[in-house]
Amino acid sequence: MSDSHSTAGSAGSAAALDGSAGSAAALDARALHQFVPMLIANDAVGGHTLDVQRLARAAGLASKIFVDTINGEEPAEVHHFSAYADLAGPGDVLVYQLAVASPMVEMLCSRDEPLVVNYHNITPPDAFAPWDYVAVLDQTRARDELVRLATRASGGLAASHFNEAELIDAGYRHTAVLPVLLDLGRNDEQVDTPTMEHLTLLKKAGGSDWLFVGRLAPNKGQDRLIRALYVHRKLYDPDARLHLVGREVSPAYAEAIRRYVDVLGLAGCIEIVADLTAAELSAYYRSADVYVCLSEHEGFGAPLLEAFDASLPVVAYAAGVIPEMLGPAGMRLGSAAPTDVATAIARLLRDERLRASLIARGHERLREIDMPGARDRTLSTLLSLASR
Amino acid sequence: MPEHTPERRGDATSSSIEAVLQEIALEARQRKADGEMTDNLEDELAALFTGLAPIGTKRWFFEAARVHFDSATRGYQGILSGLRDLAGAIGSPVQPAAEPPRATVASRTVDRLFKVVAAARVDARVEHLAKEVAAFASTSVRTLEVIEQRLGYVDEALRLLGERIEEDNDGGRSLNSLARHLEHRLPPEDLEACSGTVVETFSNAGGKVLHGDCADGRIVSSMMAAGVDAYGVDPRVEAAYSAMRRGAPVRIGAVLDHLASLGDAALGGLFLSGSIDRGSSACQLRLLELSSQALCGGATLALAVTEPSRLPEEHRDGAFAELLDWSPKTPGTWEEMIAYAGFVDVRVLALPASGGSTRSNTAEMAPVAEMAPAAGMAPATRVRPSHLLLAVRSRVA
Repeated sequence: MSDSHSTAGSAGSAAALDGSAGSAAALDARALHQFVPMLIANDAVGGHTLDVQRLARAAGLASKIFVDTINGEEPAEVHHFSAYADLAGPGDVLVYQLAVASPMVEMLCSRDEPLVVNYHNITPPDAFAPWDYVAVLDQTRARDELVRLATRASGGLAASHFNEAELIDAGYRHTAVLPVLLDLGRNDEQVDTPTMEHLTLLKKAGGSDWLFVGRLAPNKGQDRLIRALYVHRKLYDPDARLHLVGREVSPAYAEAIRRYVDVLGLAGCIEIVADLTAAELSAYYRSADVYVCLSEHEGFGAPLLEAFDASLPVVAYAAGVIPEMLGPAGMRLGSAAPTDVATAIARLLRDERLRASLIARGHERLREIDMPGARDRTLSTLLSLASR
Repeated sequence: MPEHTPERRGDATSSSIEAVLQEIALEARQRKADGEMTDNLEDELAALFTGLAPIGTKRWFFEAARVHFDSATRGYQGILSGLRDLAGAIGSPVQPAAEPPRATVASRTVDRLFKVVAAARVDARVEHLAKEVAAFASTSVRTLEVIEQRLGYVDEALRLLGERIEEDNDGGRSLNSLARHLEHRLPPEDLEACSGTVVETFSNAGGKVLHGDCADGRIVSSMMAAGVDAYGVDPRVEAAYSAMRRGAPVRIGAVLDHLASLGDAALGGLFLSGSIDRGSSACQLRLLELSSQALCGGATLALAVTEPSRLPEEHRDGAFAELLDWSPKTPGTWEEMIAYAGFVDVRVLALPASGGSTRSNTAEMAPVAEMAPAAGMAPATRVRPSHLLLAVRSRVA
């Protein structure tokens, strides 16, 4: 059986592996069950997993979600992965949402149902080395599991060509590319009013509002954002503010960030929040003047698409998947140096024509990505990969 | 993900953005040149944040441990050679003194036996210590100091033991008396709290079960009583004597060496206590890796460990950093190390804290207490492990 990978540049990458009805029939698929380490509300992977479940059920397939950690706050019904053995049935197709290490890999490798790995990228262990050796271990183990699953899985689905390249390097013979399913198109009625009022009040004091959405982790570069804000306030706008939205995953890094803010005297102009509802997050997007991303590594960059959707211009450091996600839609920086970033944002904020151009490009980029179309093709692509 | 559409002919926006980026770069350089920022501000800002990172023991710990172990193993041979010479000097026969009129043939035999046993114990112990301390090249100065301390402890122990035996009130020297005195050298570890769980865990083991650092062999005996094919390994000669009296088979040697000598999947179960908890980090990792190789797929590994807060104050490093060599580790770190070495289904069981560490004040322990200051240790203190970790050797290679 020959290998098959997506054709770079083709808008409908899954078309190369289509024949969904035939694939499903060949598989005699009766259920599509997903395995994800944790199901977290308002998380890109979590939202994608729930979307896939809805698609499967709408197509008449039974679909459960299995996790390795249940904390009682899941947004939907989940089962512990150890329960799958008792629930397995003929016609099961399994999808593993891979982004971190998980003990469920051992179980998946011991089964023989068709398996597709939906790969969301693994943060390089290097990023955590100065901060959290346990995370280094976890990420190293996750990469080992990615390779191990290559011989077990029928195929791999990646959210970008950047991620697909890693799947191919790991030995996956059949791959496809489709974006992470996101709930875009939130309208103003879905903005949380108290949050919006809070942010509007801050705006009245003057100054621009920068926004970054992402876990508080070394690879996300929140420290770079703080340095850029410091320089920007020094050179251009002493009232500028930075809003960091994301939950803490590296306690040492998060603690260092808070101390950094204090030491630099920025406690009154940097806000760190987490666990926002979708409506509260919408308020931050609507209120911001610029979305800034200086990450060293991003697996997909869902917040970039959310920024485009909120008509927010984007300034981003061109690392990892960012160039592929941005296309021409954002201001792509070759350097994350504080002065370069500060100057870029200053230029954006004073150049209305540039700002309007970037916003329009963002809308166009969303049309190119075609989230509704991707949603339509996701189930067929997964089944097609499973039939390999 | 679809690639972006090619730039449309006549669209000035993309080239405008590129031009804007060039203007931005120029402006940024100009700002610096105009002195609006100090030359080193960006570097200082970055250095400030770097300084907030945890102090460096967490950087690439596991890989660094491997590198240290490999390089130290090469250096170990030279150290061991020197230490063997020293051990030989310590254990060399002493010129016989004039025998007291009441000396018997039996007492001369015991005297020689004592010297032989002591020399063998010293040799085995020194070899074990040399391997243990040689696993981290970067702390070689400190390790040599510790070796010197411990050899001084051994030397003093020999002297005091000799005096003790001469003071024995049972009317003569005997093997039992010798063994009883040698038991004072046993590790101050109390495994009573986890003994039942260990025996139960291995009661259905599909093969031989090893207790590494088994000390007096009581857990080996308990497992055998439950029908388990169990044996022990311990570097202390006195362990062999005590275990023999219990009917438990114990081999003298370092657990590390013994595991390395076993073939793959040779064991149906493995229980590690004692030095696993107090060795160098590199040794601990190596021990776990060898355990993984020695165990059959699906077999159980059990570790008795003591979390830092449960150790007596004198055993805690003054600048506690969990990943430093010899520093006690939390159960969470052990859990990660065990998983890293290829084990799955790791469970952490908290052991009863009642009793904690106790000091024995019996007369029998007096010689040991006397030796403690010379060695910088408090061997009279008995430590009760705080956690028992259970893990299963993965069935997949």
